[in-house]
Amino acid sequence: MTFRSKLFWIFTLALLVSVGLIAAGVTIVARRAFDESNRQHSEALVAQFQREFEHRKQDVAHRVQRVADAEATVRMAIDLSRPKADVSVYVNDAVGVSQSHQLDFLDFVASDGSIISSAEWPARFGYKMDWVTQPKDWASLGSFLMKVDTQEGPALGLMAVSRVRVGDRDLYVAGGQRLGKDFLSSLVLPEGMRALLYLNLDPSFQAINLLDQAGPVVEGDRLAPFINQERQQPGPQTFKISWTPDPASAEVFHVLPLQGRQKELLGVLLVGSSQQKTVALEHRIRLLALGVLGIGLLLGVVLSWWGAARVTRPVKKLAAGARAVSEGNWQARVDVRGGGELAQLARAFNRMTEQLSEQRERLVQAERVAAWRELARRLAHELKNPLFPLQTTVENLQRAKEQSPEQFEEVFRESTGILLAEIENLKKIVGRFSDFAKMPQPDLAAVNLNEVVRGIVKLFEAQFGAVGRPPITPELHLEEGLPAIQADATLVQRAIENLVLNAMDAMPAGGVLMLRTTRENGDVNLEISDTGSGLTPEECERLFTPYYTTKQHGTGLGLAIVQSVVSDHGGRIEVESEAGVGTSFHIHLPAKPPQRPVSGPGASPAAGNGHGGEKA
Amino acid sequence: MERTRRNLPFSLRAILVVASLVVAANSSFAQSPGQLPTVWNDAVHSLAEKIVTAVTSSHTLSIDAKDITPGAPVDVASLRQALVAQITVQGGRLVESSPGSPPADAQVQVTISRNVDGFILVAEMHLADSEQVAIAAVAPAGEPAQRPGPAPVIQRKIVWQQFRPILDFARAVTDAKHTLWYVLEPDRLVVHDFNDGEEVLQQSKPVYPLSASRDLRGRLVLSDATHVSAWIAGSRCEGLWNPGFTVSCSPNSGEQWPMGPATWVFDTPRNYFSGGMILSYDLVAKYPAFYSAASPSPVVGGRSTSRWILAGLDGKAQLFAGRSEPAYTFSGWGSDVLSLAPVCASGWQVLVTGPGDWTQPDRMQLYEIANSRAIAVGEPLDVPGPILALWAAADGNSARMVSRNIETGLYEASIVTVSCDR
Amino acid sequence: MKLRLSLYLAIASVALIAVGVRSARRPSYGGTLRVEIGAVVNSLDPTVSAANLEEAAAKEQIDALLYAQHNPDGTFEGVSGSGPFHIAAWDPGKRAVLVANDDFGGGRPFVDSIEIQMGRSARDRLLDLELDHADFAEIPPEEARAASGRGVRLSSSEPDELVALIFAAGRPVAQDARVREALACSIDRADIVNFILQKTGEPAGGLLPQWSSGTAFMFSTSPDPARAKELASEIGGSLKIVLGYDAGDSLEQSIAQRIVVNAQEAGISAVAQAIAGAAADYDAQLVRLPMGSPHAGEALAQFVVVLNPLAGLDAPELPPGASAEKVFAVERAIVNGARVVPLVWLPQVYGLSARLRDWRVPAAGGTWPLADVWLEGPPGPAPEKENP
Repeated sequence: MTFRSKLFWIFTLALLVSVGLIAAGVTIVARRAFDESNRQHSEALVAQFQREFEHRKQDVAHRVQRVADAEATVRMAIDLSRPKADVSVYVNDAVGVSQSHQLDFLDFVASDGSIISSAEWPARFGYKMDWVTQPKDWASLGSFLMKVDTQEGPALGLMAVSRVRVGDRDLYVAGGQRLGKDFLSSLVLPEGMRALLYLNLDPSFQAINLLDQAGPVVEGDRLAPFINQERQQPGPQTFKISWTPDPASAEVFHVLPLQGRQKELLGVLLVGSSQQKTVALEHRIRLLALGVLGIGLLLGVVLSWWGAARVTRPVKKLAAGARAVSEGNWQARVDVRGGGELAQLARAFNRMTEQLSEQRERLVQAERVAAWRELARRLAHELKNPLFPLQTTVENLQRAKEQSPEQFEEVFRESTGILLAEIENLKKIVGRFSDFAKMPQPDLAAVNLNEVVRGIVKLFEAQFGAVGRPPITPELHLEEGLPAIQADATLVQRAIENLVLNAMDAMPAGGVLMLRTTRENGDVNLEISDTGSGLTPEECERLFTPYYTTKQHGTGLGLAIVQSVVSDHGGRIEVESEAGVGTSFHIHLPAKPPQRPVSGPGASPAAGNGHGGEKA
Repeated sequence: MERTRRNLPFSLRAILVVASLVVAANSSFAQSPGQLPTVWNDAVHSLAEKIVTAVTSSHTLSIDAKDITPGAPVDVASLRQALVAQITVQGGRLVESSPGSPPADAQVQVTISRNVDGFILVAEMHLADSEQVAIAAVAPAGEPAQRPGPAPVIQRKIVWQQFRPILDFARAVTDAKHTLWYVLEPDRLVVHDFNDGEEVLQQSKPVYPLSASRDLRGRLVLSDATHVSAWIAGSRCEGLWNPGFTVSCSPNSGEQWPMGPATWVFDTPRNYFSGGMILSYDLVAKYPAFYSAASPSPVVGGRSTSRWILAGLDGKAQLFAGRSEPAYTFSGWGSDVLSLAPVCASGWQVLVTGPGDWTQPDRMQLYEIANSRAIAVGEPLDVPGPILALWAAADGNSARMVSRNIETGLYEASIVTVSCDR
Repeated sequence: MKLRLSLYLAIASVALIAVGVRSARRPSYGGTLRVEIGAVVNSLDPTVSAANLEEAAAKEQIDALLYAQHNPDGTFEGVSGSGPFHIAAWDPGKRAVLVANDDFGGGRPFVDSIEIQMGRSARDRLLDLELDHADFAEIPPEEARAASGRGVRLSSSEPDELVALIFAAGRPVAQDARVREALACSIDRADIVNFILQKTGEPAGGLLPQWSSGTAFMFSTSPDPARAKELASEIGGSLKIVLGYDAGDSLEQSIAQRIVVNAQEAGISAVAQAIAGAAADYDAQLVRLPMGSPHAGEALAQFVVVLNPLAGLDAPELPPGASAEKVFAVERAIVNGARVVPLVWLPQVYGLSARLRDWRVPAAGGTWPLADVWLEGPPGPAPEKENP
């Protein structure tokens, strides 16, 4: 992962976490705000109900008083105060008066408590309504809640009583308004809130007594437990009910008991606050948060990318510079702007590469000189060996001509023979150098390394046990099912043969030659070990240098060729040696050589100016 | 719709009461204790029979009586007394309930009640194991003819009552003993012959009104005791009592009816006078249509055809004094006006019926016309029903009046006189 | 002067209030009599059945003006138009105009025409009478007192319509004599008359009114709440009596609701329920039984025909001319069984305009004598006389 990617992900993650935390925080705060708002609404509604209730009480008391003060009522009272008064003429008055005064209940009651006229139960004339005549200061009592018997059954009413006294006789005017759906309709409710009224008129909960503005509440019986709790313990309470599995159907109710004169529970007011709006708002906020998160993330990604790119541009330049340097471009420089730490780093890098370049140049020059010296030495060494017999033979020939012409012919034949042999020797030497210089490009094909190894062992089998020399025991540890690799079988075989020959040379007293193949992530490893005398660290270091050899008659090109083959296959070779124990070569060959530029002439010692060519 | 009482036999419904018999007739209803009118006695007799049959002679019985009907013409004590007597006669074993005495086997509660047909006697018999009821109806005959009342100025004497409608009536004395009563009904003319107050003969002959109407009017004029002329709905009929009664009718050509000193054109379908006064064969004076007309009596300058009070169709009476335009309009008068000879004064006096309709009681008021003004004179006379006809007598001192008693449904023929009650 | 027994004769049979009467005594011809009725008559053909009793009654009244002969059994003879009037305009259910027949054998009616508005509510009829937009209209008895107080000219008949509670034949509740007696004992008829009927009517103990039979005084009209409570306690509290009443009859509704209150006070559970349509479910129902005749025997005979199937009675038929004792015995047998509980008697009350003259209340079972009434005002022109 690049530095830019890391920075990008760090920025993005930081942004994501930040936005997520903010969204969650906003949601929680909003929910609390809604809850608080709902609570305030409910309290406001309860307060409104109480105000409305008080207003209604006063209104009812005023209306009843107005009925009592009306001239017709006073005339009725005067008329009824007479002996043998005919009350029948007034039997229908209450209905009309109640309508004109907008009272749902109205009773004219005589001194003895008998009903003269009743609006809510017209047929009940003549019967007693004793509670009205109980000594009460009705005027100071004002209005009160009570259960009113009507023709249709009991009802909940806000009642007031006024008394009209004529002489020693009283006429009571008991009137009131029904607390029911009409009363609920008169309450101004905020959207999402509703008021329910339970009329506690029966010994047990009756769903039909639970009203809203339209009448009996649908599924009202589901509120039965809460209302029953209120019936048992009157007092304010709050509860929440979900009408459906949908959270939006939840409703929070504030409960207010309505009590009569004797503190008996006559009704229960339930102020419901729907959670639908809250849930919907929360949903919207959540969506908004997700939207903000998404947009934030998008922006964050872009900005992070841009920021990371901006921040990592000098670093990338540094990396590119370093890579260029590592690839041999010692002239690579980093564009330096500003004065930050990265700029200092870049300047230091530039200085470093300049210095490295200069030092390398000097080193290359030195190595080139050393290589040429080594080559010159090797050539001199190689050429000196045949030259010396040539010189000796020519001198012998000259001497023979001068000193023994008779033998000259013989000497001539013998000498020309030697000369030709040495010249042939020289040609071989030159040929080997030429072959090294002309190492072919591998011709890739599927190669089973185990097969190659077995073939080589079989080829050298005679030499391992040759007469006259100590035997060498080959040990094969070949992993079964080794995958085929793309390689040039001839080159690979040649490289392995060189290593086997080296091992045999290293074990003049015999020993064990171990060949091991293993699999590594689709690639293959080959280990070739001997039990020879081993190499010194210095030898190990220079082992693959061309024309370096520890042998008396070696050209020093064998391991160089091995390294070249391995390198051309995209593999690598390492040597591990311990003096007196033996030497192991570890070759790693990829299943498929990477596409790479072909090694140029620089691979040859002649072109070994340090450019191109992998080194083991 | 005809009420049932109208469907009763005529013999039970018509009562002839001559003025001279009024007192006697009334006295027959003012019975002393123990005396009941005949029809009541019949009812008591019937009831007693039923009681004795139900209780049987093996049981004792006690009787109590009560009256729940206001206006019953008998008192409870008399009724009970009569009933006790009847039961005893028929074998019933009556015991008087008194403290200490054993109770009777059956307690009989007799009640004077009334149903749609008249009075009834109801006996509730409470026996030990049952209750029975016996009912006896009192025949509806015996309606009182008149209640005498003070008539300080205007006096009215009912001389005839019947359930059938009366259009007009006339009384003629043929000799010292015989009196003929002619009664004009919508479809016949009836004559009743009375001999010393007892009806000895009654005959009726049909008359043929040429137009059926709901407010039919008719008029009788006696030529002498045995000759009577009748005007009715386009017809004029002549009746002759000889002593058989014959009536001949013929169309009333020209629809001329006598009224006061003049003859007027009568509008048959509508039963009012069209306003045309026949002055001569071809001379007709034109007045507004009216129901009745009055002109001053001869003693105050009558027989003149120039001063008239016409009771118009619009409820207003107008005074015409020789001109075609009314001199004065009187309001609040009824349909019938007539002039009578002045009493207690010398001016023109007019008897006027009251406004209203035929469902209401009526009243008569005497007015004196002076200086084109009408001044009420004396107290009005209330009539317990609408006055249907009012015609002046030939002598100008009295009037024939037909009214319908809305209490009893009877049509009543009365003689109205005005006297000076000084 | 004799006084008739009935309380009503003193005030009935004649107009109670003669407002602004200034007319002549003799009838006047002409004018249009404006009649308003509550019923909706859809056909005047006597052979076509009426939808309800109200329509049937109104139809009979109108047909009586159109046909020459009205038989006691309610049928008519002759053709439409052979009576005092003939139809000039007919808008079924809404309006009818009847024009006088000049050559009617019984005499030409006084009014030229009668315009009948149908389907008028009691309130509208009263209002139109007060505003002089109508000359003749039926008035609900319970409105009579108030209407009179507002100056409406009224005319009342004898109380000739019985309101009774009839236990439905076949209902389990109605089979229990104790239930019937308990309910009957609980009812305070005087209160119904005084308060609901506003004293226009009479408590009914029997099936026939006192003025007709003369024997009604033998039936008690007083409640017996003690007996009712005693029976109610015997019956137990599980019983509930459903009282049905005509959905369109406010008087029946008021009476039913009062009976419910009476019953509840006596410990009997009852509920009033409007009867609308044939699928009614009630134990007892309120019915109105108008007398078909002023004569007790005839009226009771007609009642028996109605009550026998309704109440599951087997009262004997009364032959014409049955004795008063027989009539009373049948009446008492029906009442004592308490399957029929007589409640109140209602008079027929009519509102009259000030210009209406000569109105006479028809006897029970009779029809309105509108051919005999006349209107005060300018007379109509007399027709051309034919030369006799």
